[in-house]
Parts: sequence; structure tokens; C-alpha cells
Amino acid sequence: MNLPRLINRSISQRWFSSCLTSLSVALGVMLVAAILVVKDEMEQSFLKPGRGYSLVVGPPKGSSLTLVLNTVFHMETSAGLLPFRVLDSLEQSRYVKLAVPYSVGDTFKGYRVIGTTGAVFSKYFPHPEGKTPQEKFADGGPFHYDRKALALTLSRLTNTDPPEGAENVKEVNEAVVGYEVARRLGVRVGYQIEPTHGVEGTTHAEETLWRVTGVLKRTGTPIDKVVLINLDSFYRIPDHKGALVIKPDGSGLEATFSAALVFPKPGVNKALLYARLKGRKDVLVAEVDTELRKLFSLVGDVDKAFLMVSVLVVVIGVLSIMVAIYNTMNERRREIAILRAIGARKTTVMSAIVGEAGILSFFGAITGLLMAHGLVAVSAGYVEQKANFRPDPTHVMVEEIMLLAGVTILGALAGLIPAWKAYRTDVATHLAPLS
Amino acid sequence: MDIRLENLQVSYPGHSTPVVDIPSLTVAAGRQICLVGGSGSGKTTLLNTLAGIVLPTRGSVLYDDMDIASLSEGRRDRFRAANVGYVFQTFNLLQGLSAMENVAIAASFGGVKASEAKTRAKDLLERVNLGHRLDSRPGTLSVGEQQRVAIARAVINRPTVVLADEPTANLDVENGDEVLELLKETVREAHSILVLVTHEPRVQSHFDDVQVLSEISA
Ligand SMILES: Nc1ncnc2c1ncn2[C@@H]1O[C@H](COP(=O)(O)OP(=O)(O)OP(=O)(O)O)[C@@H](O)[C@H]1O
Ligand SMILES: [Mg+2]
Repeated sequence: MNLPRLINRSISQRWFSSCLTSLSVALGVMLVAAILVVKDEMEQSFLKPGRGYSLVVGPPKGSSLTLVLNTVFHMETSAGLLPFRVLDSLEQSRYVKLAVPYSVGDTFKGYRVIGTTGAVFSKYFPHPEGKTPQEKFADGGPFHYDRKALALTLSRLTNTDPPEGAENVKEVNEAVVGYEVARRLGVRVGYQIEPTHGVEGTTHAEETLWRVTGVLKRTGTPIDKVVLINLDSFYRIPDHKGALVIKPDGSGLEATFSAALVFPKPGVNKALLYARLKGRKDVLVAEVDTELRKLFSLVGDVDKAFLMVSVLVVVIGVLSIMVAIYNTMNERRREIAILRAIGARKTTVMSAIVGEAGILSFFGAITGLLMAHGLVAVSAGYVEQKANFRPDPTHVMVEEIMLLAGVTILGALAGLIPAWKAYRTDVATHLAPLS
Repeated sequence: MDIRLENLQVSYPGHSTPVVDIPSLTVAAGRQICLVGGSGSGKTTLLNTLAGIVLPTRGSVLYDDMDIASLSEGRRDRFRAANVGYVFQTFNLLQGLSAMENVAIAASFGGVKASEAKTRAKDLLERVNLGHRLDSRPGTLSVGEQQRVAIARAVINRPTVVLADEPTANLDVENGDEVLELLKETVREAHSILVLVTHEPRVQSHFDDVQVLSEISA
């Protein structure tokens, strides 16, 4: 009973200065915790779109980072053109589980239109999650994708012979829209939409309409903001003749696509595939996670200086607790002498002071953590506007618990200095009535 | 337990002669003794030595046959908590603790459980007629009341000895007499020795056993 009571008494006797010193710790802890939380949330939101992706293969132009940003974040325009041979070789590779081609270049009311295959609805494709295609849809279902239809369309583009059985192929124009696209534009299953060419949004010469077959579930990733159309229909957009290149051997034209998301088989396959692709001159391969982390380490580094300053504020706060207690040592000495005279041990007296410093730090840290989350809550809207992600104020990190423990221990250690002074207080001298 | 002083000398640096110099003094268990001496004659020093707060320069303070200076500091603190009650002239109490807590804390230093300490403190405060001020802070008590709280605190562990350092010096005659009698009674009820030091002749009249420091000193 003694120790807690003595500490409690000492704090409440000087509650104003106790509150102030605790507050100085709280301010530092608040800054540190707020930075940690926001940085973590930023990192999460930064890496989230890339989660589940493995490799991106694109044309051998530009940087790996640009390739990842183009493909995963749908930022900027595509870097170039990749012959369909590459897709075939990826699909046939024994290391590959799934290869999803993207053909880009169109937008629909500001949202990027991507021509792709039915592979995009595979259970191996991470966004949206789902074991069956149906689990991935908020409404409706996949577009109709027919390999033969693609071959037919491409043969028409390259003026080559149509594939066998082309007569029976039904060419459809279908679209699946991301959650945000559906929500913002009010697009629903069964609607007819009209992709326009290029990011500027000029209308195509011939009016062609795409029927919406499904709306994807919300993922919180850039997939929410795209329109997926069946790959063959992409090449029936009249202006897409530009997607042709001359074959390397000069024997005619071949069609191209923009990039492919590649999902290797488990285990060592990824490394083997990566090495293979890295060695090829005709493609550029990038590891999604690596590139995003590299980028984040560039962006995320800015806060190091802030963090250092905040840690300094915490240290100053803890020191202020030490100084505050130290400064009251003279008035405490007579009481220490009385305590000792009625049987309190030196260690009890010392522990009371160490405990006081620790508790002031602890409450300071708790207050600081609460303030940090309050700050995150208050500023969430602002951060969302500025940085395109909304930090969650209820997000509590392990680091915060460590911060709490660390600050408390640091405070208790700082308390050792005045406690040492208490330890050395001479009882007889200070028992004498104050003169 | 008896208390025996043998060739006890306490010197302070800067003093040519010992402040305390008592060749021999024995106080038997349960006795009440009044030591008289002028200002600066070493009264407080003697009590601090009895309490083990100040250690003898030479000679020893024996509780029965146990030399208090032979104990380690931690043990001496524990011994003091259990065997010594102390009443000072002024500023006896800890600010910020209630009267009851001031008394109870001494019991818990003596190893008594918190609930038991509270019960005992309450009983003792009632004994010194402060049953109605249990929760009062020292600052709100009169000097006489504060001394009564200090008396309750001094006897709560039924110590071997209660040391009283001019406990009535700051009280008027009427109050002083009352506090003195209360002190003597409660100490007797606790079966403790009472060693009271004073320079006031008036206080001596309350005691059968009065010793003049200069007479028992070498
Ligand atoms: N810690 C100390 N260091 C040095 N000298 C001391 C110390 N404590 C007391 N003295 C000196 O020892 C002498 C005796 O002091 P002490 O306080 O024991 O006397 P006292 O009889 O209690 O006096 P008073 O009646 O004024 O309380 C004094 O001269 C005092 O100045
Ligand atoms: Mg004195």
C-alpha cells in the first residue's frame, strides 16, 4: 500500500507541475505516434495495390518502376508495344501459373479502359479476391472472352488468314467495370458504354458500344477505377491499327499489347522465371513489390527528420520530469527524513521517486497516444485530400505499445537521478526543524 | 526489551568534544524517563542515536544485547520501523496524507497489512480523541492535534521505545500538559519505554524518573 500511496500523494500534491511535465512527454509521444501511424498507413496504402501481384512484363523501354506504375496503378500512358508472341511464350512457360495481358490506350469518361483476357477473373488474380469469378463481382459476371475471336480480330488487323473455324466465332463487345467507375458514373449491368480513344477522350470515328456484363467488388486498389473489356474487342476499336509492329524478320505485321501481369508457380519458379525474363532483350521484367518498396523508401524517407525531432521532444519531456522532481528535492528532504525516521527503507524512498517519474511518463505517454489518434482522426480528411489515402485513427500499432513501455522505462531511469539524491539524504540533518 | 548505553560518544566534525558522552545508562522495559538538557546539549543527537539514525562514534546502544550499530542499514531501517516510535518537536506529519494515513503508514513500514494498519490507526486516533478527524490533512489540524496524531503514529507498532523530542515545546501550557499525559498513557498502554528530552522544567514534573544530561555525562 505504501509505495502507490506515497507516489500518488507526491503527484497530487504537485498536480499542476505533474500535469505539465506529463504533458511535455505527451506532446512528444503524440508526434512520434502520429508519424508512426500515418507512415504505416501510408505504406499500407502504398503497397496495397501491388499486393498479390508478382511480376510485370513489358516492352524493353523505360524503367521497371514506370512499368509497375503503368500496369498496377494505371498511371501515365503505356511505355510501348509488346508483340503477342511474348504473351504466348509466357502462357506456355512451365514456370507460369497465370499471365494476364493488358492492352491500354483508351479511357471511358476519365477511367482507363483495359483490354484483357478472361485470365483477369482467375482465382489467382488478386484483385478483387475470390475463388470463383462470381465471388469477385458485386453485380453481374465476367465478359465473354474467346481466344478464337482474338485470333480472328488480329488476323484481320494484320491481313493474315483467319484461324480455322472463324466462321462460328461470335464477336462481342463486353465490359466489366470497377467498383468506383460503377458508383461514380452510375454504370450498371446491361448498360451500353462507349470507350473513347486516348486519354483526351476524343470520340472514335465509328460509334461502337460495349455492353456492361458486370461490376467488380470494391478492392480499394486501382482496379476499382478501370473498365475491363474483352481483349479482342479492344482491337476492333477502329483506331487501334497503331498496335501493329513489323515482325523482327520483316515478314509482315504483328499485333501488340501493352504489358502482362505474370503469376509464377509457387516456390523457386519465380526466381527461375525472373532470371529467364531478365536475360531476354525483347522484354522488361519488374518485380512489383520490390519496385513499390523502392519507391516508398524514397517517399517515406522524408519523415525521418520529423521522427528524429519528435523523439527529441519525447526525450526533452522525460528530462523535464527529471528536472521537475530534482527541483523539488529540497522540499522533499524533510519528508524523506520523517519517512526514514518512522521506518521507511532507503529503497522505499528511492522507489517512490523512480515510480513517480515512471508514472508521470506513463500517463504522459498514454495521453500522447490518445492525442495522436485524435490528431489522426481530426486530420484524416485533410490527409486524404493531400495524399490520396485516409489514415484510420483506430489503427493501433505494436510500435505504440513499445513506445509506451519505452517512455515509461526511460522516465523511471531519469527518476534515478533525483532518487539517488533522495538516497543520500541525511536523515539526522533534515529532521531538525526548519530554521 | 531494555535499552543500555555503554560508553556512548557521538561526535560531529568541527566539535572538539563529543556532543553526546554518556558512560552508562540503562532504561528498563516499560520505564518512562525524562532527560533534561539545555539548548545544544545534544538531546536530539542522543535520540537520533537511540533510533539508529545517527551512529555512535564510540561505544554502543544496546537493545537487550543487540547493538543497533551492528545491523546493516536495511535491517536497521526495519528494526526502527518495528521498535522505535518518534515524536518530533514540529513538522511531524506528512503533508498530503490524511491523519489516518499518517498513522497507518508507520504500521505498514513495520510490516502490518494495509487493512489491519488502517483499523489500528483508527483505534489509536480515537484513543487520542481524534476519532472525528481521521480524514483531515495535517494542515487543517491544530499543532496540538498534530502532536496527538504523531503520538498515535509513534505507538502504533507497540515499539520497544518511543522517543519524544520536546513534543510540547510549541504548545501552550494547557495543551502541553494534555498532550504530555496522553503521550505517557498511550505509551504505557503500548508497554513501550518512553524517552523524552526537554529543556523545560515544567515538563519534568510529569515524570518520576528525571535525569539531567550534564549529570549523567562524562
Ligand atoms: N549533523 C550535525 N553536524 C554537525 N553538528 C551538529 C549536527 N547536529 C547537531 N550538531 C551540533 O551538535 C550539538 C548538539 O545538537 P543537538 O541538536 O543534539 O542539541 P539539542 O540539545 O537537541 O539542542 P536544542 O535544544 O536546540 O534542540 C549542537 O552544537 C549542534 O550544532
Ligand atoms: Mg533538539
